[in-house]
Amino acid sequence: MFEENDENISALREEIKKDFSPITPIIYTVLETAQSVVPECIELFNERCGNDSPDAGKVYRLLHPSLMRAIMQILLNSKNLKTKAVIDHDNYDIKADWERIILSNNGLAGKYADRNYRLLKALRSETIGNILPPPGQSRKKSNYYCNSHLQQFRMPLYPSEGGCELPKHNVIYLWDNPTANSVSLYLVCPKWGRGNKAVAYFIDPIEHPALSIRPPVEPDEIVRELDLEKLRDDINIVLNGDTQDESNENDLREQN
Amino acid sequence: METPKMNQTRTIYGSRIEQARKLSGYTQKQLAEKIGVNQSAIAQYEKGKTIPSDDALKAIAELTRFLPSFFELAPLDEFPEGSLAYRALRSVTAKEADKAYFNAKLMYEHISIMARSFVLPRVQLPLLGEKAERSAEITRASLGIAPDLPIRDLTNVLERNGIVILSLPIFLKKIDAFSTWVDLQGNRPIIAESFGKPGDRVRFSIAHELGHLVMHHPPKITIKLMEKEANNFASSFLLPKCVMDSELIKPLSLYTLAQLKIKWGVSMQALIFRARDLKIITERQATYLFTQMASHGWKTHEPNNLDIKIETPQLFRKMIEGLYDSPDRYAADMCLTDSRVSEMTLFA
Repeated sequence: MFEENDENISALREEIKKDFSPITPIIYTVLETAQSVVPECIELFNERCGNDSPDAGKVYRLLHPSLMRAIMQILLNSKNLKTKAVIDHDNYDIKADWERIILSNNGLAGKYADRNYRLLKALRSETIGNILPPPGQSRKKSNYYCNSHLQQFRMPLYPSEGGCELPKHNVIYLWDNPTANSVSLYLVCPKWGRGNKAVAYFIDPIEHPALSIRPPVEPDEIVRELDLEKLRDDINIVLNGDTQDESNENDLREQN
Repeated sequence: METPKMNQTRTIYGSRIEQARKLSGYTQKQLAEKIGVNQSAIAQYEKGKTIPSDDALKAIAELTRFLPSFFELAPLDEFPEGSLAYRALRSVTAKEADKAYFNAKLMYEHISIMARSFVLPRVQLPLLGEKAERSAEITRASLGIAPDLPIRDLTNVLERNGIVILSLPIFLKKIDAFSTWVDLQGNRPIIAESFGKPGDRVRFSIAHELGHLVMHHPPKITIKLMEKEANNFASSFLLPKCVMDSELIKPLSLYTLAQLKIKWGVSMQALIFRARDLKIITERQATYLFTQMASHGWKTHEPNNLDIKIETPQLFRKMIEGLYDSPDRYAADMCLTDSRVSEMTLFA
């Protein structure tokens, strides 16, 4: 039986982070930009429709997630990150009329570095461990969450040498806007998920990409020296008046 | 010209006592209490109506970190306060303005003495009556700066073009810099900057003062308009219009602004203002970016990893190095205590 230990998870985490390092800042920036554009769209909508009633807030709540997704998709496409909106019909396959079911949280799906990734809205929770939305009724999403069987391929029995590539884990970017003006992004590797339960190998908060920027190191940077042409060496001449003639006379006397 | 008060052995200049007191940040009352005389005595010394006793003079010298002989040096005739006169707009206290002025005056005095032994770089600064954007373009050209590239070491560029930059050894809360024209080997511009401000802020303040030097000599409009024009000049000078369209690419995000901050050496907030002024983003988008910055706490302090290197002027240091083999000799010549010399040359 494959043994899951900290070392394995840590290696997996590093591998995924490295694979996605080129696109993580893009996704963060796109999320932040979408979040700044959406309120503007909704304000514009309310202005145009003369919608200044207290119900305007409802429009915001209804449109916000869909607009976020649509704008993020447009922005990602403009950065050559093609994604598609996940349309999951399983969600609507409701068997019992009065049964309370958890609808799956649809988002955007893409592929990068031979890995599938999805962009999903996080669940609101006090603890990071509870922010991964469960797949609900969706079989597709349950399948997507199911990474656990892949870990066995990381055992020494399946060395990566020998021409066969290790199967890659599916990844999720979870986003949230804890306040109207801020966003949070998490990198998640799900382990499994079914119904109203979802478990992850890790859920790591991603820091703002601006904090990872390092100024370019310029070892050969030369400070351009200021050229100052000197007239006199002795400051005392300046401070006490020009005694050049006197000293010349003294020198002459000494020579004589 | 001030008439010094003399007795048989000494000539004491009251304005020197005032200079030492003000650059040390004491009120007359505070100084009086410290040296055990009353306030009116200090006022009398400063007006040159009475001469302090040897003990009083020694106490003043010790407290203000000058040698007693400092008070016997004939003061400099004129050091115009220049843009420091616009302080009313920034609610700067008189005490802080005095501290800035007298510190700059002292450094300028030393430079003007030492400058007699050097040929200073020729002044290449135009005096313009154009609008800020155009003035910034002309100034770049006059200083030999490419019209579309970031200015890497602004202080160095200005010094090489004959502008004297004084790095004041004091932290001034509400004054980042001020500028003035003085008579030093001809008409020469001076910019004095406060210590302890972030590198990008210092660069913007220097560019702002450059705007005053170029456009407001002599002042032609109200202080409020001059300040606005100088800000526009700084923004246009550091972030030229001809290249901003291709740099501030929409949609503008904090990440892009952070990258541009490193490249252009200005704050993220200055970049937002520039993008808004050039109508690359709307007022609402600018507000939103500011709000996002505030949510990260970056409006008061931009991320440390993006810190811009603090530029240091070279002229003052090079003059001292060129004329003195040790700081002690410089201290003795200028009548300063060692501690004041260390302080004055720390950032030079």
